[in-house]
Amino acid sequence: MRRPTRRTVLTIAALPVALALALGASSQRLVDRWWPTFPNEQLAAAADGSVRLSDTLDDAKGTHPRVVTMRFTSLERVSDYQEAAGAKTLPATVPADQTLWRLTLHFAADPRTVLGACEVQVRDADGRQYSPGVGDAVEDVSEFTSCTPPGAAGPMAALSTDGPDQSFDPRPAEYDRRYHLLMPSGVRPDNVRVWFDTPLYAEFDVTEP
Amino acid sequence: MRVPRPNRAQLGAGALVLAALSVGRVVTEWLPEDPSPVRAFERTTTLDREVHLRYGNLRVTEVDGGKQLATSTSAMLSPGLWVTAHVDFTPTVDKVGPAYAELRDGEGRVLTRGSRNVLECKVINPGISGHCLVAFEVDPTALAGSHLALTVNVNDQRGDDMAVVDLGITPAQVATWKARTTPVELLMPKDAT
Repeated sequence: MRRPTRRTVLTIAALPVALALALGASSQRLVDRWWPTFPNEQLAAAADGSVRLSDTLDDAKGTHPRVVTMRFTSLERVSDYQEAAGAKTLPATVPADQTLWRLTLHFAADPRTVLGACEVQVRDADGRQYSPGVGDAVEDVSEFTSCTPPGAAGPMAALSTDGPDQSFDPRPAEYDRRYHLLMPSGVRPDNVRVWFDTPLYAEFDVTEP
Repeated sequence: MRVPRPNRAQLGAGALVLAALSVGRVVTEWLPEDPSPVRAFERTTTLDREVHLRYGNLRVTEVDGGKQLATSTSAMLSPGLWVTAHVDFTPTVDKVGPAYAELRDGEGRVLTRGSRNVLECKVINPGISGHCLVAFEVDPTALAGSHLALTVNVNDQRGDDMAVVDLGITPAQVATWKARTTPVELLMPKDAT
């Protein structure tokens, strides 16, 4: 069989490059629109395990700096619901094949900072994502995921350019925030993710409780 | 005129062109078709047969029908028929539940949610078995052969899995439902998540 010419070799070698260029050129929607909607840029953790987020938040009145430090405190199996340390303990009726978990995170931020909405997820080693919520297990409780203390969210994002600054009750400079999650029995939590605006996120390893 | 005989290189190039065209054809066949170039990936199944979707496992367990519908919050009478479905759904990736439903009737018409049709699901964590209630107000003449389509994104069904379930409704069943005088009760099972 005749040996391939130099031109043939070069042409075949260029094919993967051309393919990569074609895919890259057509990936604008993926890169600019879809991918940034996911938490995909992990923030670095300090030596003590805390994670500092420093970004900005946009509202109707402009762009505001947002600096918040987050730390994992605990994740434990529980049999009751308690919104915060010292709050009233409520009984929980947990279905037989499920387990109620209580996650506690610690936040520190200037009380004047608008924190905005956030997401919290517990993940297992296979990447399954579990979100806070107690379903019907606790009467008259509907968990709303935020990263501010219940009833003390502090300043809120402005909805109009000319209105007065709106604020919930003042937020302390540091606080613990609890979340309750119903997960199938047997799930072994691996890490906790927290993010405000994607793609930046904090991830904390979970030690086996 | 004498046609020159192609050499091996030319034959090889021709074969490669044909192969590329074949691959292109296969890819085109595989991609979603009109009306949207990125419609949902439909996973078909039948009544009481589980279908595995990217985000969870779904099974329609029960279908019923009649002129009157009774839910936990309302009672509604239809000039046509109500068709109801009980759906089991277990998410496998993250905390989701079916949020979009459409009924494709026997004539190919597509009914979506309105102010009266029902889709009620609890959004639950992966691995927990959940339940949904579905009800559509339909034209009885086109009800036989209807399919129920369900997916988790209410705003955008493109590019993700969608369960399409043949509800197995026969003309005889429709006749029975038309003659029915008692309401169809659509309630969450007591042990449902």
